[in-house]
Amino acid sequence: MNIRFFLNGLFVSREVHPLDRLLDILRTEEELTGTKEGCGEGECGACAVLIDGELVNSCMVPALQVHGREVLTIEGLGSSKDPDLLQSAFAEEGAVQCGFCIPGMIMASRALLAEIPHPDREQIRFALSGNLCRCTGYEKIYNAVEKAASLGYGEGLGKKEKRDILPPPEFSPSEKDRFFSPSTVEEALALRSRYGREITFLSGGTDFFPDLKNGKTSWRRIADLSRIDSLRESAISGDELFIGSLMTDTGIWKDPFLQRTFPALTEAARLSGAPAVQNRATLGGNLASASGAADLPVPLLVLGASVLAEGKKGKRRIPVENFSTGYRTTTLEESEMILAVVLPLKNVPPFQAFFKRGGRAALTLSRISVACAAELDGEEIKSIRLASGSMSPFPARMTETEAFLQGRKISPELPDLGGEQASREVSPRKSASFRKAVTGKYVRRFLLSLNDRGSPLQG
Amino acid sequence: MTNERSLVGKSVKKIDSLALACGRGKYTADFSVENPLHLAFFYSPLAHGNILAIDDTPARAMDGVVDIFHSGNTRSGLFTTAGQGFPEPSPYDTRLFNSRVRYHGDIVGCVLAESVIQARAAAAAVKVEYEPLPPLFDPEQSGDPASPRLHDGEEYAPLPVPYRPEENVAGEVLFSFGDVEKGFAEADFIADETYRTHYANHCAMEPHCTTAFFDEKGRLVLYSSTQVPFHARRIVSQAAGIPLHRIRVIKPRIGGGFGGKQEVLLEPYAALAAWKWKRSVKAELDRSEVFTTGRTRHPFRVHMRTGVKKDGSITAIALDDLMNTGAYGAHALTVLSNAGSKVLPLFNKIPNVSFVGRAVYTTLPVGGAYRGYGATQGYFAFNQHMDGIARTLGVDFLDFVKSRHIQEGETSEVFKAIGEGTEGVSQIIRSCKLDECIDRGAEAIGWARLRGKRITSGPWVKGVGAAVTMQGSGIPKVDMASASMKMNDDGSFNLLVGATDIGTGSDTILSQIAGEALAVPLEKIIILSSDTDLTPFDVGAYASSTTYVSGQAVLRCALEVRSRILSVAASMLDVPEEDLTVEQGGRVLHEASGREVSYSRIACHSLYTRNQFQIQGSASFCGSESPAPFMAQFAEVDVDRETGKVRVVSFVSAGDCGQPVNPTLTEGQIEGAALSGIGYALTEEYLFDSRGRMTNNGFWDYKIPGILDLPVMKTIIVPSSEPSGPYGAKSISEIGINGPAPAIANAIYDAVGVRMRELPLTPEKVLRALQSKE
Repeated sequence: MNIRFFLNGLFVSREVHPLDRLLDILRTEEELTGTKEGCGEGECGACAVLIDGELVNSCMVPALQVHGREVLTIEGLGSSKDPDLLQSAFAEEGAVQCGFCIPGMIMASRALLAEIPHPDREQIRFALSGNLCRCTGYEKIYNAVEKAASLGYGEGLGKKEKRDILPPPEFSPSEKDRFFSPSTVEEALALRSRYGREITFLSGGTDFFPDLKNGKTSWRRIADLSRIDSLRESAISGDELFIGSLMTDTGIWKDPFLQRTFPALTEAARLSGAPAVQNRATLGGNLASASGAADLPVPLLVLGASVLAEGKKGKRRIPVENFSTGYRTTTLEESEMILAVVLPLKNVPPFQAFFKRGGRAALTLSRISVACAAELDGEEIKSIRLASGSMSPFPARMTETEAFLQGRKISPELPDLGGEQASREVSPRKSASFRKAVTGKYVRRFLLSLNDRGSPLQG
Repeated sequence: MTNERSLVGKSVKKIDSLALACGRGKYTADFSVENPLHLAFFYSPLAHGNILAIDDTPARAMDGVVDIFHSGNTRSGLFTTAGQGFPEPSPYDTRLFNSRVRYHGDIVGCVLAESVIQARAAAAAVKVEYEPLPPLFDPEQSGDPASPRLHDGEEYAPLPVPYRPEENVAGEVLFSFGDVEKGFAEADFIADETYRTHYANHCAMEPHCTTAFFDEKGRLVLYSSTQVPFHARRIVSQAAGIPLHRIRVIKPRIGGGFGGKQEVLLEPYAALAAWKWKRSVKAELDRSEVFTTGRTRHPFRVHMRTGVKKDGSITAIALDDLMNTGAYGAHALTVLSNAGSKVLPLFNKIPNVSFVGRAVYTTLPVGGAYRGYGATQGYFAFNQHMDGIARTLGVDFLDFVKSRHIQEGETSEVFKAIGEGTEGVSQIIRSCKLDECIDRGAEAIGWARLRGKRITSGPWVKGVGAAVTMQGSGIPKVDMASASMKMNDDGSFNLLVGATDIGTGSDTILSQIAGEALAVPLEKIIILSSDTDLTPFDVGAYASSTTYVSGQAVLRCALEVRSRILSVAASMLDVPEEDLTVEQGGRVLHEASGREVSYSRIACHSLYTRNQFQIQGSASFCGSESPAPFMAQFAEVDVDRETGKVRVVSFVSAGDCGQPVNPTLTEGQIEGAALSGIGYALTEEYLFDSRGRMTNNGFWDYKIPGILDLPVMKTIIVPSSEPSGPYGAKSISEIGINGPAPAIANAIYDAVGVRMRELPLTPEKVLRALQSKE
C-alpha cells in the first residue's frame, strides 16, 4: 500500500506493507536511526515518537495507521549543530550515558512539557515511566527535564489535536481482501459478518504486536478500527454512561467526570501501562483480548458494567461477569463487535478502590489486582462488590466474600474477618499463598477505609 | 604549569552526549551496509540432549534462504566466548555449533537469508532430532555420581588452572592462611549461615548486534556492540578460522554493556557467514534471545562461617562458595575468584581465613561477566553476616566495620593468594577513605535517627541498613592498555586508544587526562577509540580498568608528547629545556625572558621548518597493583508487614574512587550501578519451568527498575588521591552494584527482624519470612 504522512514536518509518500512497524519504516526506509529498538514489545520506550503530538511506541504502530498523521522523531527536534533546548539539557546535565534510551526519553519529555510546561517531580516520573534506562539511575534525566522546563521549553509547544488531513489509505490489489480500514461501525460490522473470526480487529496494537512477535497470535485479515471516531466517544443516556470501545486508557483516566464518578476505573486505567501504551491501549481491546491480567475488567466488575455489542442479531448487552469464558476467549459471537461499555449512573457506589501489585511500578501486567465498591446505610454495608484479577483466566467477583459482608455492621473486627474471607475465596494458580494473603490485605484495607469513611490506602 | 587543574576533576560535558541526544550517534545496528544478509539462530528446546540428525532441506528451500549452518555441516575448534586475556582463564568447552545441547537456548545453528523475517521463518523450519539426556538443574548435585557429566569430550583449560569436567567442576579456587580450625576453637561463638544469590541479566538497552562487511580493500570489517574489540578479533579468528590480519573490528557507540558484551557471542557467526558468502551480514539478537542465550550473573551459594570472641575480635572466617556457571564455563574461574578476592581483604585483620570455591556446570543459562563480577554475590552474604554478628555483639554495624576494615598502609594476604587464573599480586592499600564514606553516608541517610527505631505507619515499618564494599581497578599484571598520540599543525592532538567506551564516558575522561597533561582545552584532543586497525591494543572495558589502566597509558603517552614539545620549543627558543614550562591553552613559556611559543608554532616548526619530524608518542600500561575503590551504601526501606512489599524510600552511596576525573560522570556510574543493584535485590529474577526453560525472557515480566521505582537517591563522592593512579584516580564503574542488595536486606532486618538470605527479596519471600517468624 501507499501511505502518505508528515515526517518531521516533511511530506512523505511510501510503499509499505500495511503491518510494517513504524519503527522499521523510520529506521530502514527513512534512515532515521535515532529511534531505537530495545524490546519490540512496548516495554522499554526506546522507540518512542510522537504521532499528532501524542507519545507512542513506534514498535507497535502499523504502517496503515501512520497514513495521514504527523510523525515527529528525535531527528525532527534538532541536530548536533543546532540542537533544541531539551536535547542540550540532556547533554549538559549528564543524562546521556550510553544514550540508547535517550531519544525515547526526550520524546517522552517533550510530550510531557507540551502538556505541562512546568511539571513537578511526580509528573515527570509518570511521564517517563515507560522509558527504561539501565545506565543513569534516572537522577540526571530528571535534572535535564527540570532544566528544560525551567528554561520554558514547553511553553508554546501546545498540544496538537489529531486531525484527519487525508482520506483513508488505499490498499493495493493484493491487499484489498486482507486489509480494511472501515470508518464507520456499519462498515466494521459488515466485515465481521462477512469474515467472522477470520478478521482481526486492530486498534491500539498494544497486545497484537507483542503477541505477533512472540508467536502467540496469527492473522488472516485485518481491520483497522482506528478511523471509527464514533467509538472514541462517551455519552450519557438516561441513567447510564456509554464509554466507546476505542476510548484509550489515557482518555479514561484523564476524564474529570470519570475520575469523580468511577475512581476505581480511572485508577485502574492510570496504573495500566505507561503513557505511550495508555495513549494507544483501548477499553474494547482490554476486554476483547480477555487476558486474566487485564486491568480494566476488574473495576468494571464491581461497578456493574456491561459490554454493549452489536452483530447480525442486533445489539445486546453482556454483563462483564459473563463476558469471558476462559483464557483469551469471550462470549462475543462471530458477527459481533464491542461498541461500548455501559456503566449505571444510578446508585453509583460512593466508596470505591482499586489496588494493584506488580513487580515494577510502571508497565506491569497485574500480578494481583483487587477492585472494591460499596454503599453504606448508616453503619451497615448496604451493598458491596469485590473483584480480583490475575487469579483466574479472567477477572472474577468474590461472591462469597460479598455475601459474607453484605448487610453487616461496620466494626473494628470486620476488616480482618472480610480480609480472611477474601483470602480463602480466591484460588490463584501460581504463588498461591502469597497472592491469597495480599488479596485479603487489600480487601481488609478497603474495609478499614469504610471504618473511617476515608479514601483507602493505595496498593 | 600550575597545580590548579583545568580538566581533571571538572564535569565537562560528555563528548558524544549531544550527538546521542540528537539521535545522530551511530550504534552497530544503525549502520547501513549494502545489500546485507541476515542471520537468525535456532536454539535447543531441551535442557540437555544429543543432536541425532538435522534436516535443513525444507528450510533451505524457503524464500530468501542462502545458507544454514549447524554442527552437521560446520566444524569449529573448542574455544571460550569469554572475552578475556590470552590464554583465557575460562575453559575451552564450546564450539560454534555443538553436537550436544546443554541448556534450553543453546545455539544449535543459524540461517543466513536475504531478510530477517525470512531467516527467522527458516530457522523455525529446521528439523532437529534429539536424544534427550537427563538435565542437571541443581548445582548442589553437580558432583553427584548419578548426575550427568556435561563435558566429557576434549574440553580443556588453556591455562594451568583447576578444571575437572569429570566432576562437572568448571573452576576451583582454594586457599587459606592461618589455621581456621584453631581460630574456630578460640571463638566464643561461630556465626554459620548460608546465602543464595540468583540469575540476573545485564539488560543493556541495546541488544547484542554485529554487522560484517568487506571494505574496498577486501578486508573483513566487523562493527560490533562489544566491550572487547581486540579480544573479539582474536576469538573470531580462532573460532571461525579466519586469519587475524584479515579482520578489523570497530566498536561504534554502544548501548550499554555491564559485562554482557564482554562475551564474543555474535561476531564469529557473522564473520563466518560473511567470509563464506563474501557478502555483508547482519546479526542481531532480540530481547528474548539476550535473556536466554546472552550471558547472566552467576548464581552463588555462599556458606560463611565466622568465629567471634565476646570482645568482638574475629578469630577465623571460612567461606565455602558454590557457583553455578550454567552450561559453559565463561568467566567461571575468575568470577568465583573475585567472590573471594574482592571480599575477604575488606576485613584484613582476621588471622585465620579459608576460601573454598567451586564453579560447577548445570544445564541452565550460561553465566558471564556482570558488573561486580562475583563481588556482588560475595558481599550480599558478607554484609548481612557481619550485620548479624554486630547485632549479636550489641555493637553498631558501622562501628563494627570501622574497627575492622582495611586501612591505608595495610595489606591483606588475600591479594597475593587469589589472582585471575594466575597467582594474585601483593599490594598495599595506599588510599582508603572508607571511614569518611561511612560517616557521610550515615549522616545523609539519617542513621542515628532511624536505626533500630522501627518507625511504624499503618502496615509499614521503617528500617535502615548499610553495606560496605571494595572492588579493584583492573587486573594487575594482566590487563594492558595502550595509547598513541600525534600533534597536528594547529596544536591539536589525535589520541588513539584501544579503550572501549560503552556508554561510560571513557572517551571523555581519557581526553580530559590527555588535555590536562598537555594543558590544552578538551576540543584540542581528538579521540578515536576501539578500532583494531587504527588504535593500539587495549584489553577492553572490564574489571573497572579503563580510568586507571587506560588512563595511565594515556597519561604516559601525553607526557611523552609533552616532553617532545618541550624539546622542540627549547631548540626554537634556544634555551635549555628545563627552563621551560607548559602553560594553559597550549603554550610553552620561558619565564626568565618572558618569551613563549604556541603549540601551533611548535607543531608547524617540527612538521615543516627544521629537523622535521612528527611530534608523537605512544605508551602502554599494565598495572602492578589494583587499587581498590571503597563504598558505603545505605538503604532506608519501608516494609509492609501485611503484604511483604519492600519500598526503598531513600538510598545513599558514598564512594571513594580516588580523584574523580569527571564528577558528573562518576555520579552517573554510581547512581546507575546503585539502581541496577536495587533491581537485582528486589524484582529481577530468572524464572524457569520444570524443563529448564526461562519463562520470563522479556521486559514484561523480567522487571528492571523504571523511574517510578527510583528512591530518593543521594550520591556522595569522597575524594582521595591514589598515588598509583592517573592524577590520583581509581575506578568507579562496578562497585556501586555490590551494596544495594545487602543494604536493603539489612534494612529489612532492621525494620521487621527477618534475615533474608536468598535473593531476590520479593514480597512473597518477605511475607513468608514474616509469617514463619510469627
